[in-house]
Amino acid sequence: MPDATPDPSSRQPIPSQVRTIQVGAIARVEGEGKLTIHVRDGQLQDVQLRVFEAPRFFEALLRGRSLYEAPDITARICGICPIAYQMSACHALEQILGIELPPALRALRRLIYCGEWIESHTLHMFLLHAPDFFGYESAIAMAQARPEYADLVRKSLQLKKAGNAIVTRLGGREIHPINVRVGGFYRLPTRAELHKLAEQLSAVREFARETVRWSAALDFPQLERDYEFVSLRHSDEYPMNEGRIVSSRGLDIAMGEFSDHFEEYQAPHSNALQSRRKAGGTYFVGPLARWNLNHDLAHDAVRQAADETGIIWPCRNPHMSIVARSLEVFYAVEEALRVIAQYEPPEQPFVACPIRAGEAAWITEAPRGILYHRYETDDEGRIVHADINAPTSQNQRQMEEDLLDLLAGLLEQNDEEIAWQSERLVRSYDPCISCATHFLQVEVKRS
Amino acid sequence: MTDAGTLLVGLGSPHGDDRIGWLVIERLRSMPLDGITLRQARSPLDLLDWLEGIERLVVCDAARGTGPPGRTRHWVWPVAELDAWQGSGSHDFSLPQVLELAEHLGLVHTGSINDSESHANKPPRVELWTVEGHNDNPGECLSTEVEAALPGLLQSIEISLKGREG
Repeated sequence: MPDATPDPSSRQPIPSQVRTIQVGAIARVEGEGKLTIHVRDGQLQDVQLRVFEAPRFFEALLRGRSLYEAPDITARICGICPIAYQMSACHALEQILGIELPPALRALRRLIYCGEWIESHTLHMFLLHAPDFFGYESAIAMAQARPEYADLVRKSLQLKKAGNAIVTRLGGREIHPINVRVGGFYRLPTRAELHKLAEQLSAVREFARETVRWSAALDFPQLERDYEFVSLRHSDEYPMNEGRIVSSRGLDIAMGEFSDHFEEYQAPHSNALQSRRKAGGTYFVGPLARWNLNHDLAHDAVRQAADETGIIWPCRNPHMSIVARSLEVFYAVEEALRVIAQYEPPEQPFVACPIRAGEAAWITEAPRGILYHRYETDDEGRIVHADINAPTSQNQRQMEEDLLDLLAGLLEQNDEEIAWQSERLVRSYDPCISCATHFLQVEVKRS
Repeated sequence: MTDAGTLLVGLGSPHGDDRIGWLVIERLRSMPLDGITLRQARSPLDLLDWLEGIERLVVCDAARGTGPPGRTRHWVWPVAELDAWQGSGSHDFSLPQVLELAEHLGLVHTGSINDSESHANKPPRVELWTVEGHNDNPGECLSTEVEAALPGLLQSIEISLKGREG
């Protein structure tokens, strides 16, 4: 067999070697995006998460519409976390109208969010992220490979189903929930309907607890960085719809001050806006940030499950976000059961209030992290200006910085291995590109 | 809740020809179809929540690569020809992927549709009705080809449902 290696003397001299590694459509993430890695003379130059899913202009679409339409319009931004959009929109607009929710409506808002956390986190943990830890291309291949994996997926579907049931019952229907409104809900659930949900939740409660042990025992890649974790924090409950913005570096501000400390900017390579701290630097939002900053507020049973993992909190390994997700699923199951047990139907399904002009910003904790909405309305209740900043936009620059750190140690590897490790890291964030464009393909450019 | 019998699910979205699954369910709701549960879904993954306790799952969805626009086809799962059928978002699973997963989990039956064995305690059989679409742009209506296919599709589904139920 002839030697295919060319004579080195015949090569044209080139001043530098460029290597471009492209990860095509990154699998098991929501939406259309691509990752490009630039390498010159063996040195990592840049990593770009290129979101090419078209901008969706929801903020512009809201202008001129009644404020009462905002929860249903913004819910269309994401098929996975529509409730988060409804929650942030409703709470911001209720601020403008001066509406304060009675405890029972507030509890129902918390219950529907529990449902979304359970379904979104469970989908990501078992059907999208778990194959990375067992070396399979997909959950289908995983389920096919070993009976115990199939059993795990089967049980996870029951857990997800319990979350779906909450969203369907309180949201009014399976797709594009429509029962949430500014001021409360259109229709209240009956005790019997909630009792049925409690039965479903009780049936999956033990699996939710087991999930914490299972996730903590996974084999995690080593990657620890000095993140600034950012989340809401409430004085006496794990944060969902209310709280102050806090960070692991001492930030403690009201929601209305968000734009004084955080800003969105356009990165030339991406259709999604990215976010940064105005004082400079990236930040990290999502379940790992939330758990690191709020684990003391979880139910005793959930804190005990966290203690039993042996993990020291705060945890700075993004790959271990799956453990934070499992803790939040267990928390959400416990919290949903608590809310249902204490449910006393309020007299009215919503608080009515006269229209007035104003502006307000609000943040709630979407499954993927803090979701910022800000609205200005006129005296006829029309939206004059809307501003939405989704968690994936906020994490995007942080993901790029993580990849720079990860890839610096991987450049001797082949492109396929680099692409796999990169995708895996990105997936640990559970990015939602559809939300970010209101993201993945990987490309490595070596020069 | 799905109690028993047949579950007919229209998969879709509000966009162009992708609406066909939802439209079929809306139209069938005005027809007398005893013992048949009708549901709309946006994500094929939702099907996994609804397989318990039913004998037959019928799914109606828009498709690509099954013929000229408007062509209606009836399939019985497993369908190898639909392997390349992709979901609309990469986070989501395509319909064939969801059915393949359900198959590995023992949640759907893959035997012959004319199998005369009792269905007690067996997972449901799956049938698919597809309409070839060519326009799923946000905010657009059905294409003329898919709109023209709708009456025939409804009639075929109704005959198929009544035939088996009867």
